[in-house]
Formats: sequence, structure tokens, C-alpha cells
Amino acid sequence: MRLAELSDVGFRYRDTTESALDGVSLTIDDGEVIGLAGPTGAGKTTLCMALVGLVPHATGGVLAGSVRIGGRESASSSLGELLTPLDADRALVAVTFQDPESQIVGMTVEEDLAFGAENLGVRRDEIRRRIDESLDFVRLGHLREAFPYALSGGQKQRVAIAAALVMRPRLLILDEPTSELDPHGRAEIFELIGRLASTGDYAVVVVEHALDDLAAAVDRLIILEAGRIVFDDRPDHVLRKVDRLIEIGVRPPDASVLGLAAEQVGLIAPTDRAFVTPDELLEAFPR
Amino acid sequence: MIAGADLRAEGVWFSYPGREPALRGVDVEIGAGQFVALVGQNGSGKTTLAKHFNGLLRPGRGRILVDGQEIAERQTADLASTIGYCYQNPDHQIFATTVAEEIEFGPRNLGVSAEEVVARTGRLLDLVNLRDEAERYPFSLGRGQRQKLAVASVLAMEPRILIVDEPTTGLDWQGGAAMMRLMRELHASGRTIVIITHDMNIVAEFAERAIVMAGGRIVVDGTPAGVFSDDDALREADLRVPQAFQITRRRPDLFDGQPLTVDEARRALLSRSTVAAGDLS
Repeated sequence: MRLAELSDVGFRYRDTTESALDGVSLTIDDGEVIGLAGPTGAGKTTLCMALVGLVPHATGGVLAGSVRIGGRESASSSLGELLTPLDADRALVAVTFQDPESQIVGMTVEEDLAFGAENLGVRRDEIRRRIDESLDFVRLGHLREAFPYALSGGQKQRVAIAAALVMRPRLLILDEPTSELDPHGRAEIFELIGRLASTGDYAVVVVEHALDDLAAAVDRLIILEAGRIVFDDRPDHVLRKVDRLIEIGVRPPDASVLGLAAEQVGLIAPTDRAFVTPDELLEAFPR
Repeated sequence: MIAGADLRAEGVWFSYPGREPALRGVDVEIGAGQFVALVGQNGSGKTTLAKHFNGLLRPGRGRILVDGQEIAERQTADLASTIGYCYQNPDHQIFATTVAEEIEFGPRNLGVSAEEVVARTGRLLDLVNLRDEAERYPFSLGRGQRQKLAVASVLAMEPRILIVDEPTTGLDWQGGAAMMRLMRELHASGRTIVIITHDMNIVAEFAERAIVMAGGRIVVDGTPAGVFSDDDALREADLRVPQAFQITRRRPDLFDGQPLTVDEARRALLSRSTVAAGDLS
């Protein structure tokens, strides 16, 4: 089913003259796994906030065009109406932010996880079952009683994702989940995104600066520049546009850059797709 | 021993109260004018080691020398004008109400003359490209600008050695590149630069030397190329080398060696066409 549909959306924050979003059109369907990238100020977070109705309902500002979430028109609904679940016990949308500490609400991991589902009115025994499942999923079952603030950055981010999963959202938005993490924490989050994607139960939008891990993890890659969508396509198509990505200020994976150069000098046969990982390119090189 | 070593750690052990040792016998020398990257996972001991070099932490065992002199014997003010330390999160050190005041605070505190403070502030505002923001409230700046302001306010004390904890974290590619160009300029002007980073592309592109830490120890120390080739140490530190080097290392025959960065590797590939054309003629 269609979870979100944006048609020619423009948005300006209060007291600003520049558009944060400009002519944005896209659709998000059940089960899609989408990467969203672009330089700072390109509108990534604004787009995420529009997908949960926080833009414009919590931020104010001027919204143009049509944002439909779960079939409801954002501009003519209240935030409460907009986010009312379509199913009895699944949230429509859940979002996690860059700084996981900003969304910790419980004194234990378990309490933190229960909060969202309690607000949805899910039954107690069902909440308990979901907490078990979500903690298992993010591999933090052993930290159920832990004080959330005492966890590592990667663990906090996984608690935030587990707290979202407890609400069983149709659409899960992860806004820069790895930007504050070390490589180890980063790898943990991308491994988790891979497993989320393979369940097929959630549409997932992952926002990132860096394309290396992102492009390998998603089926669809959207690149924003100055509030506009420049690319919205399969990652191995988008990554063909190496020079344009560099111009936008998004670093393409080295494998894509070197794959294109190898084609140019006739080292490998021309294709219509980009190499996303080093292994793919190494495989394509002549023995 | 390196002649004119700026920083030296000798058998340094350190534990935070009630915790396992964060440093387990670290021996390292950083020579004057080097550009060093300190890498490793969170909890590996990088920041703990760096905080020993500016005297924020004192070793439990072993000693720290700055210019050959034990750090415990040096005055804080003297140390501040030798070593500058920038926190990972610029917001942990920014406190003034305007950008210019933030930069002026350090040197004024060190007793630098008012005239000289103004001159330095002007130069630094130009260096970090914040001249037009001099009267703005620091927290109204973007993350990249706040990061640069934090560096400028440390540079205002004119340290010879600059230690910057994660200069590019939270910045996008362009913001990170601008920050690293600033580091390179400061290095070219004769300063010793120590950056703490997770970004191996930055290590490949900017550092002369990489020191990899894991479990409170240095597991490998050398040129980026040497460190990236040490599979055992990288496994121990759980670090991945840049994609370009993963590729060139497996196929040096195609890249005329093992270039470290994507730009070098790309140039090496593209130069093959010239060779091929030459072969034909």
C-alpha cells in the first residue's frame, strides 16, 4: 500500500526566504528500503519531518503542494488525525533522530521501549511480547534493565530503533543513525538495517551523509540538493553520476568512481550500472 | 628517539575511577611538525591518551613529556600556549556571546596585550572564514562553523601543537574537507597536528602517520600505507581501510602500485589509456 505521497511540495521555515523543500514529488510504498542523502542543508531532515507531519504542524512555516501520509492530506489534518494508526496496533510512522539521547524517556531500557506502545494503547501482555522481540532484534536482550544513558552510542541508537519497532510502524525513518558513532557502531546499525529490510514488514527511510554503506543497504537512493530531488533511482544507477554527485557535495563510493574510470580506459566492458562495493569491482576486473 | 620530539608518552597507564585500565602501557613519540592521526574504536584509549598530552589527565603510571620536560612540572598557562586541544563537540567549549569574544578569551586570559588580542582575532577570523560572523551569537552558527570557531579560539593562544578530537564528525563531506584543508594549512605553517578520527579516508588523504589504538594499547604505528596493510592490527582494532585501498591493494598490477586515495587510484587508471595509446603507435 501507498504510505506517503508528496506532489510538488515546497516548504519554507518561518522567518526564512529560502525554500527548505522545493518541488519535491515522491511516493513511498510498503516494504521499500530507501536511502536519503545530500549535503548539510539540502533538506533531508525537513523531508523526514514532513513525512511525520512535524513539518508544518510542529514547526510552522509555509507548506505548498500536497503531502499525503497514509492517504490523509497533511495540510487539512491535525497532527493527531494525520498520525492515527491505520491498523489497530501498528503506528503509521516512527522516526529516530541523530542524537539518540534526545529521545530517551525511560529510566531503564525496558521502560523506554514500553513508552511508545503504551501511547498507542497496545495491551500490556502484547507490549511485553514486542519488547522481547524488539530487544532480540537489536541484540540488546541482556541490557533490558540497564540505565539507557549509561549505554554506548551504538547501543543507545539501537535502543532508539527498538523503541520505534515496538510500535510496529508501517514506515520507519532513521535520521542519520550513524553520524555520532564509531565504525563499530556504524557497522552494527547497517547490519540491523539489512535485517530490517529483509523482514519486508517495514518501509524504511535511512538518512546518511556518506554513500558507501548506505548505497549497499538500500533498494532506492534519493539525493537532495538545495531542497530539490536530483536523483531518485536504484543505487547502481544513481552512482553512475559520479561527477554530478561530487558537484552536489556527496562523496560517491570509491568503487563507483574507479569502476567508471576502468570502463573509460577499456579495462572492463561498459555497463549501465555502477559498482557499489570493492568486491563487485574486483570481481569485474580481468584476471 | 625522535630529535626534537614534541610529545612523548613513556609507559603510560591510566584508569578512570572504578574502571578497567583505559591505557595499558603506552609508549609513543610525536616529533615536531608531524601530522598524526590517532585512530581506533570508541573506548580504545585515543581521547584518553590525547588528554594526557594537554595535562587534562595525569598518568597513573609512567610519564608524559612535552618538549622533553615532564608535564607535571609545567604551568597550565605555559602549557596552553604550547598545546591546543579542541574537543570533539565544539559546543563543549564554546561559551562566549559573540564569535569574536570567543576567540579573544584565551589570549586575554594569558595576559596578551589588548592590541595583540585584536590583531590575532582579526587574523583568525580570516583564517577560518568567519569575518562576517564576528558579532554573531556562536550557537546561531552551523555545526561546521562552530567547529572552526572552536579551533580558532584554541589557535588564538598560538599553540605549536594542535590536538583536534574528531574534527569532521557531524560535518558533511564538503564541511569535513574544508576543516581538513584548514588543518593542512596549520601544518604547513609549522605546527604539529594530532587529529583523532574514525574516518580512514581522511587518514589516507591527510595524515603522514597513523597510530592505531585498541584496548588501551597502540597496536600499529606507521605511515597510512603501512598501517592499512597490517591486517592483524586492523582486525584487532576492527577497522576497515578506505575502499580505494581495498581495491588497489588486491590489484596493484592495474594501478601501478597501491595508491591510497581514490583520486590517486583514478589517475593511475586513467593514465593506462595513455600507455595503451603509446603502445599502439
